[in-house]
Amino acid sequence: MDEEPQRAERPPGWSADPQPAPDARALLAEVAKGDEAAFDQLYEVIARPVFGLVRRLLRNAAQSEEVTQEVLVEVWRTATHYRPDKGSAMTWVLTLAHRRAVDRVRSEQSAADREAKVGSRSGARAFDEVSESVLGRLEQLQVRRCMSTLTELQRESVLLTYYRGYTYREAAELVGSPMATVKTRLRDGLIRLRDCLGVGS
Amino acid sequence: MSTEMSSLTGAYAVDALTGPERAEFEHHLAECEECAQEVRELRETAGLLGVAAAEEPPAELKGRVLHEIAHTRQEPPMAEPVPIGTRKRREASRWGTRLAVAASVVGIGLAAVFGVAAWQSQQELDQARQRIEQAGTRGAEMARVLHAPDARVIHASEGGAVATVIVSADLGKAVFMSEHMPAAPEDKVHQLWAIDEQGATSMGVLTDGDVPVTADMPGGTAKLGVTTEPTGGSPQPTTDPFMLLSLRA
Repeated sequence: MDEEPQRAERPPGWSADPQPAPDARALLAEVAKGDEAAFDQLYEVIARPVFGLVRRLLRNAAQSEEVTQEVLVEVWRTATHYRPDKGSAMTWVLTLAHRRAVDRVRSEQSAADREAKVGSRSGARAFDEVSESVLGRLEQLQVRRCMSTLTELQRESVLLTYYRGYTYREAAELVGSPMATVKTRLRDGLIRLRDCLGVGS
Repeated sequence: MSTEMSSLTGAYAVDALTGPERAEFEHHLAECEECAQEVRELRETAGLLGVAAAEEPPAELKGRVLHEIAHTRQEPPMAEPVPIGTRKRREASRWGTRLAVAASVVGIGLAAVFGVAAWQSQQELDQARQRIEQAGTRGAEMARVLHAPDARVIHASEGGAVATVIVSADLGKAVFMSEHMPAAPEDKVHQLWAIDEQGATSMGVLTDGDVPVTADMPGGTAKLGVTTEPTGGSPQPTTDPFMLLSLRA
């Protein structure tokens, strides 16, 4: 996809869609002009990643479907706001999806309730669960390979925040490390993934 | 980049910051281009983790989404955000309100053009389409005047007619909009003039039907005036202006 020119190192077949997919950026530009047919095509490109990510975060199938629908309609509604110089179209869509799903997770539990629940869980067990359900099902070898280059704490920090929607403070409690440590490990982990996946300059 | 704040780029990129901490970081982000760049890259990275989680949604979802978007209005594009440091605080926000009002008036003007188009014969439709295209080009030009830092809005009314002018001396442009302007009599037109101590300079002939017009405005213009002139317009006004807008506060 020409919207992600930096990732030349990525192995062939990386794209979420094995068929040569229409370019998400070009489709989004058409959608911004109110083109419903372009949205139909864009749906084919973004629906799987959006649904998959939302499902990881929410777990509940019916809720995931509902939030996915909200996200896709938001893509239509706000396509005019997408700025190609700020990142790829897919990232823009998945940023919307992640934020919406995380908002939903957090609004359903009051903060206190959530903290209590997190505090009462065994950190180690919670992470085992994450590893199995998320890493075990990752379809993309490249992400899995890059994940394996992270230290354990880096990986836990990334998985718990991105795929589970925990705040870094909650993640710190879960893994039993100081918040400042998790904060920096999360950043270090993402930077290592960035370099391994060939994002940016 | 300062170490304490900049270490939050990762947490921010994956929505793991909440409340005041998030707000504080966003404030910092506006001033730290290096941090903003890192957030963009880490978001891009997180996006790949999202793609890696792709999963087939239920087949019936597509129909529901397509149905809903068919009934959902899209938001207008956002204007280029003004850097906080360069904004003229009170002044800007006051004009901002007025400009928003003026922008909606432009919208009404354009809507009138489009509305008219719905009732025309094919030949007239083609003419209307041409006018719409012209209005489209002018729309972009109008937006430029609307967003000029020195843009000012001036109103005048005469009888039932209302005129709104947006002027930018820096651009040397004025956008003239009218509502309920009576049609010019047979063989006559309305003409817009820039008036200064030396006299009047034509800014162009106005089209009937309250179509907004963007015109060049000479430097030093003190007033804008509208007169009734023979069809085709006059090199100099032959009647007194029936509407005057003073540009000096």
